[in-house]
Amino acid sequence: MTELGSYLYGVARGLDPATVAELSGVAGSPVRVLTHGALSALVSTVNLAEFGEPGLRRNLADLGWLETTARAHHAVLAAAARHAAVVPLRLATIYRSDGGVRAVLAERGATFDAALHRVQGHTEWGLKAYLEPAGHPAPTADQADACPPGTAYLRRRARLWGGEELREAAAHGVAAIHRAVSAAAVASRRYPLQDGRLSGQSREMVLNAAYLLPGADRALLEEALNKALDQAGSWPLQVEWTGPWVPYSFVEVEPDP
Amino acid sequence: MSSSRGPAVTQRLALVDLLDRLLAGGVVLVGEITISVADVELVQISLRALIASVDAGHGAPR
Repeated sequence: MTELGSYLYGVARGLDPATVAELSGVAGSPVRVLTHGALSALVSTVNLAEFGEPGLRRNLADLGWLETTARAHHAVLAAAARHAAVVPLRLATIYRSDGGVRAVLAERGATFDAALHRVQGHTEWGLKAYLEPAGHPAPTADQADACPPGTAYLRRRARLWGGEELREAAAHGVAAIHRAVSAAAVASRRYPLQDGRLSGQSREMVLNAAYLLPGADRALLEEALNKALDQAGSWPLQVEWTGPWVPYSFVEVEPDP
Repeated sequence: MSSSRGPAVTQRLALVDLLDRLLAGGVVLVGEITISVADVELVQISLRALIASVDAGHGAPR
């Protein structure tokens, strides 16, 4: 007999079920909405042979399965987030039945309300910074001297003594940039630096951060970044934004009492 | 830093950026009857698997 479970994507407030009626979730099954008061849980039915604990352990070791599942999980939340405030759940949160999901909505309603209140009307943006690849032309003495005095000194040292000082100087620049962008955001979080084998990046990553911003306009963060870059001088950094994201990084809830 | 101005937003969602968030972000419900693998374990299992498959020559994830 096939054992089925309920996969929980996230919890929304004020979501019209019609807006997600056409969506397919993980394993291609249709997305459903379970409501409790103003809260809506986004769920779909999964086969526990695939999503039960032994199956999950096996499948998480399969890059193709993980990618397909992660993209499906994200697609459901991103679609819902276009219409309502959404609190995302960690990948692969599965209950034995819809009843289990309903019980969570009932028992943790206040927790979800608080998390929804925090993220409503906000967007998450990612900022990644890399050291410029070796071989990037070093600034001329004139350019270096035009930088703030400390900067010029460090750059000269870096050119004289090689990569380590450059890396150290970049780390200071990165910390300053993160502080400045964080100050323009309502919340921030640094993720571990990505492994080049996963990202396919040959450049060395020096910052992997996320910021929560009211509204959906990144201009405020960019302005803070550019100002910090100006003050930091000519650090050999390359930066990239990602987003807007569903606020994955800013929905930590208190553990159960 | 002048060469870094006007950073472009990556159009295609990189799997590695998505996994940062899906494996370490999102609400973790503790103590309810879920089947989900413990969160720390989930991150470790998946990242180990990813690195292993990349090393095995399946190429970098998109």
